Amino acid sequence: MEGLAFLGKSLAGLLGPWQIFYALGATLVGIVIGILPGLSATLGIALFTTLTVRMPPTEAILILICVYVGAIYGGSRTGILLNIPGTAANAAATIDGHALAMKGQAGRAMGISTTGSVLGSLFGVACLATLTPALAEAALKFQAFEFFWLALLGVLMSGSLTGNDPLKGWLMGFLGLFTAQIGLDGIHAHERFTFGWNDLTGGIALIPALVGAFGFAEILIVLAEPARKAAINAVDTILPRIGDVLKYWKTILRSGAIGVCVGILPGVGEDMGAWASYAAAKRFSKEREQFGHGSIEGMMAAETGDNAAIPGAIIPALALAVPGSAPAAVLMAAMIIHGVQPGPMLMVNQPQFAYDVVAITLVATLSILVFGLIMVKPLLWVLRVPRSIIMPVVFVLCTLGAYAISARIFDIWVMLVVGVVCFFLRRQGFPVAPFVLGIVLGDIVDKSLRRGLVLSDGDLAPFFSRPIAGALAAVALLTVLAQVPAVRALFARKT
Amino acid sequence: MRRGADRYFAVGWIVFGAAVLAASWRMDRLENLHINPWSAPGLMPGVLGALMIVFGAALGLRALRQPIAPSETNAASAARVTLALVLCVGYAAGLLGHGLPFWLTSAAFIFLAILAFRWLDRDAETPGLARLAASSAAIALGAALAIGLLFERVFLVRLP
Repeated sequence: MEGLAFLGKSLAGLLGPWQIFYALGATLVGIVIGILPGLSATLGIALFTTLTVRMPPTEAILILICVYVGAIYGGSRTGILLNIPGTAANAAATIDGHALAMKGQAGRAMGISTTGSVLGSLFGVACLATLTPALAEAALKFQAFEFFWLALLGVLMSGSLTGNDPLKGWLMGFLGLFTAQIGLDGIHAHERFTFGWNDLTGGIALIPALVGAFGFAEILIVLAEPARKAAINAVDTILPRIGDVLKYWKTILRSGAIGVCVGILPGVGEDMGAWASYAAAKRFSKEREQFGHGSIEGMMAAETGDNAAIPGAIIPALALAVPGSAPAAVLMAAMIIHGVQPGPMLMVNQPQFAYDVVAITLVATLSILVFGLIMVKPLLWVLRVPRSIIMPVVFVLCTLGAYAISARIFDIWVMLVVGVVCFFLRRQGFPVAPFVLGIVLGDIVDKSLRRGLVLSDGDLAPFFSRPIAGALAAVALLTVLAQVPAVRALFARKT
Repeated sequence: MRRGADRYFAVGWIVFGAAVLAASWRMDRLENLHINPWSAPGLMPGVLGALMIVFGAALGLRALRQPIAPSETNAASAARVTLALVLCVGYAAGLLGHGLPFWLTSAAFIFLAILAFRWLDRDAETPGLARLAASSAAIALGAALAIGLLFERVFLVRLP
């Protein structure tokens, strides 16, 4: 009941004209970011963090979550019409979405995308409202040992699942964790790896690094290839069909649950939510042969899964300060910039804020429904704007975005260096998401390891013998061992 | 191409990890402050350096076991990347923050970048160079002024 009262107060606070304007405007911008291949939800949130830094926390987070939800939703447009997913989260929906477009049912595919996205987000919002307080309460029992493994597990899982090569993903995660060690250490305020350079004393700021990794690197990747002309197919009616919802209600519920669970896993993200939901839908479907050839059920599962993963990824960010995905990591960093401290104590110190986030996610969901119904066709003109026009303008925004938070030229240098390094690493198959998770979680991993060792006087046993720490350690070790060919061969022989 | 490059990247990771490990080992352990030795600032970076060495070695060993695929060098792509790097780094590191007005440097960068890449991507429908330059200049000036005003007047950011 107390939770409902908080939620009611949060919703009432979002009904003002400015709040509605912010929600609709930010969702629209998010959809455009999602539609444009090369611009990701993570970059959108990072750029808007710099723009909203002087706003009150609730309004700033309202804008950021609306950009987040809008971008993940908007990316399917490009996938359906051009067979190029607008964001990584839309790759699974692209398979059947584009197949439907080739059959002259692009509008229907977009209607399914809207239905799946809205229902997935609503399912996720319900889980966000109920699971966040429960998880935060459970996490009150966590000590440094548990937080160390939880944060390390986030980086390892992100490394395993966000690229094609876990070994490269883990290396990028370690690089991110190392990047977070630069500057004053969190316990004794001792300078590490600053080489006497004053600008490095404050460390590598997250937003410039993010803008470099997801913005500048992506701009270089897009500009490296010649532009392909967008050939947009004719679009039939985009109105969602009730019949699709009724026919596939089991798939929707299953995909929502899978999306939320995958979202909660530290560092995994919306793309895995979509793929896991798609795979499960195919496994249980009576129309399995249609998957990959324009399956309504497959499209519905993928879109429900990736949008349900958004609130799922926010749950551990709020309750444990361990984000479930790269965009959620930026969102968490934005909360910290605005004076909110995510983690188990959030429900004790600022319970209203947790319910503000629930209400905001609900508003963002309703906003994508509005745009899904009335703005699909007008928004498609964005696809006709050449990338050679968009990318230079985006680079100016990236440069100013990196600079804006602290007004330091040094942050522009950070953006450039991180962008160039990530560009070359990405070209060799090193994924960027674990690097970002590493930067966000580096402080927790460092402080938790040292605090744990101080508490145990150098004894490693509590890192493995405490029940939750032991379970997290086992999962972390299995995550790595499962990728070792010799171990896999051994398991294959035994089974 | 990747497997061949992995050998060099593995060496890079091992060298970088070793450098981090060495720097962490040599880092002040603050013994003069009588801190708990398990809270020494170099502990975590040292662990990360060691992990980079181990995983970098695993990457190298895996790359050695696999045949090197023929290199797929794409000269056109490399030229485009070089052009993008020169324009972007020249603008962000060379022009911004050196006293020139933001709108002017940004308009110049956007104009050059749009013109160069639209010209590289030109097809039968692309207008002639003069019209392309005029439209690129209009977009560049409009975008630079709009971004500058947005950040300076709405978001109260002091422009570089």
